[in-house]
Amino acid sequence: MEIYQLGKELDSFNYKQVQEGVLAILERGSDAVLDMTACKYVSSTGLRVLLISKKTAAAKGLNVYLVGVSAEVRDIMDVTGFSNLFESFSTMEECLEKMKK
Amino acid sequence: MSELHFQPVRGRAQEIISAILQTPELASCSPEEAFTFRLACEEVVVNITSYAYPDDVEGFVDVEIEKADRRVVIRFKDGGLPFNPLEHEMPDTTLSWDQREIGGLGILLVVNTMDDVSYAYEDHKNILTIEKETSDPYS
Repeated sequence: MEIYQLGKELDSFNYKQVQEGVLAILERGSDAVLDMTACKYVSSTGLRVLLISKKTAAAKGLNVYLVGVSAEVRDIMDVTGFSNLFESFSTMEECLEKMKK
Repeated sequence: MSELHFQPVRGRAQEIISAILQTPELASCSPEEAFTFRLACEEVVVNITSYAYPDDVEGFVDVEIEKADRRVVIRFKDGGLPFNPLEHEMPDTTLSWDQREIGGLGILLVVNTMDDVSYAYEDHKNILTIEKETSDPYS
């Protein structure tokens, strides 16, 4: 697996580079772990990136995990039903522990 | 009331959103409320700048921001293709990832974060109004 670290926002103005980064990880045949610890703002365009990443991963037999989703982003994900679409972890340690098993 | 006018609009979404958030009506909101308004405005503005007008047209958007009794009202007026985002079905948020479609999330977020959202088509303009009670004690 490979970790992709997001910045403080994922929106209509920076989504392309994030999408490209995550897709590149999946292209290499690795699961993608999105470190969202610094991310405090996500708009619908950002959610779209997450969904496209998830669908692309699944088509390759891979997965996308979320780490450190903030309260603000969690609210957005709850309201849109996105919280149920992803396996997420509070910390990177938890995520790595789980993936070792 | 603050009144903003932008023409053209293509490629200017970020500038438009910033200008709206910097009006006195919104600059006085709490950080949590500013977050909510930023999100709702991004969804509405990006929709207008990306889709309201054909490529070869220099479109416009007028934005009116009012705050009275702590209620913020933002009215977006554009002269683009008639489009009521509220008449389209909201995405089903209970579906699993493989059934979820990519679109429709923007208006879902606007409707869920604002207290009131309404649409009218008047004078050849789409008018989308979003309203929210704020808790600002200084307004």
